[in-house]
Amino acid sequence: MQRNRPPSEQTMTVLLALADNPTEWRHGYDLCQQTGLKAGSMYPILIRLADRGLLETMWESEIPAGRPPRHLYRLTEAGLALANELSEKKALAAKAKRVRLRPRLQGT
Amino acid sequence: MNTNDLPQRLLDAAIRWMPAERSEWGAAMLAELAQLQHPTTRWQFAWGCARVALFPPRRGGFFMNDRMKHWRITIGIATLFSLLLNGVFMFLALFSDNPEVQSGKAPIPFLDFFRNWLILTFIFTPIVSGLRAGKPMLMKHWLTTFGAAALFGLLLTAPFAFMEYWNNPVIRSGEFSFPFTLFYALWLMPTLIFLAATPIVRRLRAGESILAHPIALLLRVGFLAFVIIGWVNFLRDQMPCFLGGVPDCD
Repeated sequence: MQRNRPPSEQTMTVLLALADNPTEWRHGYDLCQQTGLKAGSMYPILIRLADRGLLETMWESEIPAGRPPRHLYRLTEAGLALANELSEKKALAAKAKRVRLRPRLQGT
Repeated sequence: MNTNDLPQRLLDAAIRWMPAERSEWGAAMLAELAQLQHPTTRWQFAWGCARVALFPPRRGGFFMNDRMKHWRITIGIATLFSLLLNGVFMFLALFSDNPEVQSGKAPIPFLDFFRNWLILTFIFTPIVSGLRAGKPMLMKHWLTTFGAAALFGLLLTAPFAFMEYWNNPVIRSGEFSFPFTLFYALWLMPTLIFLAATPIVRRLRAGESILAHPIALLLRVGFLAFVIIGWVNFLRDQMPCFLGGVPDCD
């Protein structure tokens, strides 16, 4: 049984980064660069997302000469659904914040 | 040695500590490091990954796994149950045989309450665990062991309780109430002795070596010695009162 604790800000960032182009396979350092997270934060998030079945992983099949195959990641359907849900919540929260601020702005 | 290899060596060494179930992630981090060229970037990446390798997330640890949840709830129930049971004993102690506490002359024995609470929680936790796991045999095992231990404690305590009652006319006449707390402590100690000694006796009876876990054995024997000495001293201290005829014994 799992608890439905809301994901951390960093996890949301990674989920949304992966949801940018959900069909594309991404690698760890690429995600670090996009999100600004360090490897020490990125890999635990990826590991936990994979544990929960939100992330699928594979090893690179077409390997350029002189380097080992990379580990690649993309969201599963469940991961994409969660990313979309979080994205909507984030948008609603931002909208609600704007609505709350409006009267104060009118008063000034 | 090429200094460029040091980050890789660091990560390689850290990955060896990773549990087997996470080995794929160790290989993934190493493969990713191999893509990086700039020394600073490599060091930063390797350092972060080494931290992950040494302290990897536990499986299911992101959202509490079943085992953790089981023990959290089990300990919670055992704690609550022992609190209620201990509360009854404390109530008896405060309202039946402790006029000094009631009148505020003596402090409420919170420390005793806390100690007994801990001991009872320790005893009830495996019983509750068996009940919750739906393992009747485990539950039966613990209930039988605990029941036998409680009976052993009762058999050793009952004669002294009888002596206390029979030899003290002030208790028989109702002038002073019966010292329940004292006999509760006197019962608890042999009960704990029985519980601590049971695994050793079982191993010996099964023909197994008791030296298979020497540190656990040492801790158990130390605990047994501590409680036995405490119980004997307790009896020696209280014996004049049990025998009666000693003025102002406490």
